[in-house]
Amino acid sequence: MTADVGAQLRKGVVEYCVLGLLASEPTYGWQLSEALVSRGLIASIGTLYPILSRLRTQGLVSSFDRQSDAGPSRRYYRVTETGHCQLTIFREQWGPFARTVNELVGEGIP
Amino acid sequence: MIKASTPQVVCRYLGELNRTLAGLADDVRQGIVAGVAEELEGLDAAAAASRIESLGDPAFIAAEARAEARAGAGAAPSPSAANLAPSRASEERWYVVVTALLLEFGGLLVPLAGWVAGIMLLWASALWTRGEKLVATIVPPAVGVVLFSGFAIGGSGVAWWHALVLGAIAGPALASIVIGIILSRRGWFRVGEAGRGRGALKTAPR
Repeated sequence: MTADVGAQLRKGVVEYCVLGLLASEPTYGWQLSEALVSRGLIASIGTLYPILSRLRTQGLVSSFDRQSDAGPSRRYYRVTETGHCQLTIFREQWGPFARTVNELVGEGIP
Repeated sequence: MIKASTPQVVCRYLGELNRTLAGLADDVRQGIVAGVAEELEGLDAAAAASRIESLGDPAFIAAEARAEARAGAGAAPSPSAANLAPSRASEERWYVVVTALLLEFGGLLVPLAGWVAGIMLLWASALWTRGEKLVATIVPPAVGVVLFSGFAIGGSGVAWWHALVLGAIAGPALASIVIGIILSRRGWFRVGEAGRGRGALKTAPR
């Protein structure tokens, strides 16, 4: 049993959380990092880019440059069609999985 | 893009960040630096300093990036070793076969060097656990030392020759063959399991 339960749990789902965030709207790196850091899913922007790199390599995420009206040109990330499929599969599995874990570790069980 | 008007605090931070990220994959390194540069672009020195403070020490960002890159690469011990290890199932099966053959018979075909090559392939792959790699590396030489010592201590000429043959050649060779068979079976099984996993979740992130 590992002492850092939170780290182990995050490791299994953080990539799907990135896909979930990007599925709602294309997002640039900093914004994505802020959203994940504020929720305690990653420690810093340094954690984000290796994840994005893997997701791009796997064809689940793509990137594009967008010029903003007031600010600088930014690199945005969005979910590909394959990424959407993968996210759908994860959503289907996550609900039953979370319910099962809740049943097993729920407060009523000693 | 660094411009002439970019505040010094931004230049210094991006430079330090770039240096501390050395050794990471280019796309990761460039992604982090570009992502931070985008966010700092157009800010005056005070606003940039405040944003930089919230980002944190470049060494911390680099450490996090390395930890995540390692976690994503499975048990690959280093970037160079990770490049040696194959990723496709068919290649992985060949990798298992070649590694096992070198472990079992490499030392007999090319004394010592053949076995060492097998050990290097073993350590370069994430198919085997650290414990298995340690056993494969330590046990054959240890068997040799134990057998050689047992026969050689107080032995005469014939006993010494027995010690040499059994301790230096037969013992380690036998241990390597047994370990090679066990590890090849485990590696083969794990390649199959990984292949089934890829089939169920074809492009599942690790």
